[in-house]
Amino acid sequence: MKVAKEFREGLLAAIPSLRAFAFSLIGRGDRADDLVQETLMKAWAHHASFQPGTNLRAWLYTILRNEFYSQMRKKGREIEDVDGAYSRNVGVHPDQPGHLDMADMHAALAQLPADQREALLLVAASGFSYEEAATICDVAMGTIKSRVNRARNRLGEILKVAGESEFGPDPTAEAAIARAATRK
Amino acid sequence: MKKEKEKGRPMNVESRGRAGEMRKKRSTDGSVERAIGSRLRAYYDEVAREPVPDRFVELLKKLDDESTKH
Repeated sequence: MKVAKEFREGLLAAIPSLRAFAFSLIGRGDRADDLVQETLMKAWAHHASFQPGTNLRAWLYTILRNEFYSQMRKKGREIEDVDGAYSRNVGVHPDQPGHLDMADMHAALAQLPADQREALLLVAASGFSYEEAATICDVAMGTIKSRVNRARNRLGEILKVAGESEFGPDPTAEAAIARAATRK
Repeated sequence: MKKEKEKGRPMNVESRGRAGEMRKKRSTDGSVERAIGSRLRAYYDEVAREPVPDRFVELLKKLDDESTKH
């Protein structure tokens, strides 16, 4: 059964975003791209179960995420290993502009529990709605919301402590972060 | 405003609207969210902006070629 052109093109268009998500789950490098590769192959094999007109990106993210956790389970790894791998794989090239910012953010994100980091990235970086993120992670929407809030709060504290004012946002936002950090 | 809400970035209107209520005191206010949000997106975009690696272009081509043979 021939795969529709729109589906193929949709897959291609989603690759950059999928790579970013894979990176956020395992860290930089071949393993992230291997995960994307497996996701694409699975998506292709199951193309008949995708309803055209529905959210392809969310569907692909779900496949990728499930594939990731299934691989982790097969290897007998705990979620803590996910955090460990994430912390080790900074993978930032020194000659990239703003590389200190990247390393800062990566190190800050590494301090979040995996489920909070994932929820935060889905909602605040990948641009999914809470509802879509809940479907991707297979949890209730309220769960996603509370993970995102906790992640945001924690990240704000971490970034402030890390001296983010050096490369960070404008004075208005800085003051706001300062207020938020002291407002227990 | 509405567009932001659809994208899942909450406006936290409840916290602003209730002066003196402690209920939302642990959540971040809008400007902190925006600062974090823009940095998160910049971080994400570092990867998302990279050109699609050849291996994926080739994979899709291969899968497509195989599917037309049957």
